[in-house]
Amino acid sequence: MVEKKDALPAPDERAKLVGNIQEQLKSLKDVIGATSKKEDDAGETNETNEQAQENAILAAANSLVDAYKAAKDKLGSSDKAFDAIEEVMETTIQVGSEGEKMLHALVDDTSIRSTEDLASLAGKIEASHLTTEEEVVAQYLKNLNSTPLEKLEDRITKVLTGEKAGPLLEKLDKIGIEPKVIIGLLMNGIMSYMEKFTVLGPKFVKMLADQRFKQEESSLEGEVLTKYNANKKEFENQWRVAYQKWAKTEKKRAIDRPSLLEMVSPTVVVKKPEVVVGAAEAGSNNPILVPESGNPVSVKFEKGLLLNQKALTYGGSSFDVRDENTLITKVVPNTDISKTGIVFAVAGIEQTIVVSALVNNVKKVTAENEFTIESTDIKLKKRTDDSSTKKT
Amino acid sequence: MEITAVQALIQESHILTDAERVYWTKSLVKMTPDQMQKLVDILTKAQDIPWTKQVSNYFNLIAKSAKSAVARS
Repeated sequence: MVEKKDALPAPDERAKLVGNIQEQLKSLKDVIGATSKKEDDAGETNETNEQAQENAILAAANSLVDAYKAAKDKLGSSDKAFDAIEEVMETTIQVGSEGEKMLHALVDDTSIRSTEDLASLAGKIEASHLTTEEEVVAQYLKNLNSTPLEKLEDRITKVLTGEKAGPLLEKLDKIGIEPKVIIGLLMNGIMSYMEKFTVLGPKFVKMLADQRFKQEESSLEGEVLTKYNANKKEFENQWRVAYQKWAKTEKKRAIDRPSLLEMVSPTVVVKKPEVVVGAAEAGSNNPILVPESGNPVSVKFEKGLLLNQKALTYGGSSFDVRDENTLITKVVPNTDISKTGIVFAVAGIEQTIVVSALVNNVKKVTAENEFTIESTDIKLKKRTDDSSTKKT
Repeated sequence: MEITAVQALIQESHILTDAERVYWTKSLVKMTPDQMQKLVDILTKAQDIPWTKQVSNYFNLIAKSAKSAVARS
């Protein structure tokens, strides 16, 4: 995904946009349901299944690009546009029975049998005095067999980089997006769509876990990747256990989905707050981050939130917030659009926590024991009192 | 079936990954007519596996949602 580096939009503007999209999609849900039914009732068309699928993939990608462009024009940055689209895809596309059909269809007997038949055919062709048929079959299944989701990703990639995708590719080029970004959005949407089911059987969990793990693994880089490679098996097991546990939860919220990055390197990860903050409810005892001099960004925290401690905690690690070298370097959007990431630089390494209720133009509060954001570099000011260590 | 038609079928098949496409394209020269027919049968049958339609439905849904979000925002 694109690096997040733009300043945040005004919260009211942001909330308005999110609310707008959510409202639209809520009312759209019924329309979609009705349209899908009509299409089903209309029966077969002249298109083959494959052509229909290819056209559907192209249409979806085109619409996503248009949605991205419109969101970017409104929100002003790529990241915010992607966040808004992902939010829409993760929270509003829920057509239970259709999704369930797709889930079952992806791992249906015909698909499995096709792969087995291909492996068996390979065995007949390749078997020789050096290799038995069984060995070739086993080798085929090991080396060439893919999960249905991998096949699907492959299919999407093929369509979106193929001949018919010419106009789409031109459009993407004009707005500076690579096809893989759109492929990623589509795959992420599909997985979220399937993960929504309350009860996922073991084979579905495994299929989704395999694909998610691949996605998680590919997001690692630099020192984190080195650390991961040194203990790969253990990290993978740890992640898979956590994913299985998450898949059994009823809500399966995207924000709670286990992160491999977090497991490998808790100190560089965006972490959820322990308390969701409502700025308006913040009382006089609350630690408050305010701009010292004309900085438009300010953050209010409810009493007892992470910052109301000696140390700021995230991902099981912590650092001393009283350290003069602790700087808030930037404020970034989060996948969950109602929250905001605050990036701190500690000893030169950036670390992020996620808080909710970013507000603009909060008046400076002069009570003691406040955290203060100073100037555009947003410095976390040393506290004058360290007695407050409670946590809600 | 002509070998070029089989090659096209391999290239277009959505149940094959790129690695499989390479494998089967390379294997064509070693195959007997019966084996080639078997491959054609498998790939033709796979064109109608259920997820093809379900996936189309999903993408149609995405397209409609995205379009509507743009139109009304």
